[in-house]
Amino acid sequence: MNERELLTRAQAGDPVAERAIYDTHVDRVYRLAFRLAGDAELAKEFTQDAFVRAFERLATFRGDSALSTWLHAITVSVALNGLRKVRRLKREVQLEHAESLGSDRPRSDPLLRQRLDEAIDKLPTGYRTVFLMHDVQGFTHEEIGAALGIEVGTSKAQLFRARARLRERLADLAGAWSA
Amino acid sequence: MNANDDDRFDAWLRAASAGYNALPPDAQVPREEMWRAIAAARAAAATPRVTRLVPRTPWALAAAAVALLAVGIGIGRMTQTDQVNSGFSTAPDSQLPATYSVAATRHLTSAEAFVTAVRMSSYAPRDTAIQRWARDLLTDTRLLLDSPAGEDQRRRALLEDLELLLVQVLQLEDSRTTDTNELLLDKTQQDQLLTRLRANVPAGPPARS
Repeated sequence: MNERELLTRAQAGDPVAERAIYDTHVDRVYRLAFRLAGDAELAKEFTQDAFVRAFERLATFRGDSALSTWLHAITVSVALNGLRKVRRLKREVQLEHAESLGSDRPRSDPLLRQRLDEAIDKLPTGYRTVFLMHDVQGFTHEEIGAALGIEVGTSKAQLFRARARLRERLADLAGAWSA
Repeated sequence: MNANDDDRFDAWLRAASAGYNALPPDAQVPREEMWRAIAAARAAAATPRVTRLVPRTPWALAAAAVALLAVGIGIGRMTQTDQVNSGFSTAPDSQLPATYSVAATRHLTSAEAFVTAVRMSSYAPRDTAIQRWARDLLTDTRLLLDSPAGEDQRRRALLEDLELLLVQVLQLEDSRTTDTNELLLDKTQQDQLLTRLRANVPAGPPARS
């Protein structure tokens, strides 16, 4: 059964088709959510919310874009909104456990890796999202534009600025990365 | 740093950043656990909420009437005070600094006009002016979500749904399909959003600048 047939059946409320759509896309959605959140629990929460929203609105999907693009748009929207809440909570309440968010990454990273991770963390949200989607997850600028509701040119410009900002922040380690 | 260095840096960056927030190699995507949570959330949303509107006993009915009357008087007094002070009615938003409250109200008013415009014609979302309007509204929506105005749960949910609709409208711009009558946007979804926007925009003449 191809994706179009699957979609038609899912739109008619067929639970088997819904599950098949979930199985096809869940890995990439989860990985994207994990990249953005850096935390397994948050990634799980964002993935669940994204699919709940997607199934709620599946009837409105007409297939003008790929289903994966539409799902990624919802995932990014859910993740960015969720991260805003987390950041606000962290800022206002300074919960002790919130300090550990994003700490799923190995502690034994060498200095350069750690500096890179910190530099990416400090990028403005827009730059960071485009950078992660393009350079890390391999999305095209067209897909990013569709997912974030921005022009392809804006996506390219934000990626350029993100890389420039990272280059600037890691300039003192030039010897290390050029070795 | 010369052009060669830039290229080398970009190449290194792509390779090194692959490890940023990467799933540990032994990690499994918790498919089944997430699927169960999704199914539970959807089942909960599908269950109709039954609200008992009529109290069980006469005294409860009387208490409800008194409470309703008190709320009515309270609202009436607040509205009257607002009208005396500002010349038009505003929704009470005492927790929010005035600047954010005004910005949120203006934004929601503009969003209401936008959704109405989109609602009126199935061709409208592909119009360049509508697309530009959607883009501006999307930026403002995201700024508001990040501001104290986004802390109110009801307004936040409204802004999030507005954000999703705006992204969907902007997705139409990139669509290569020639079937312009097929609208990606659900009319029911627009109607519901419009109703909620109207409920959040104060009645009366527009704010004077």
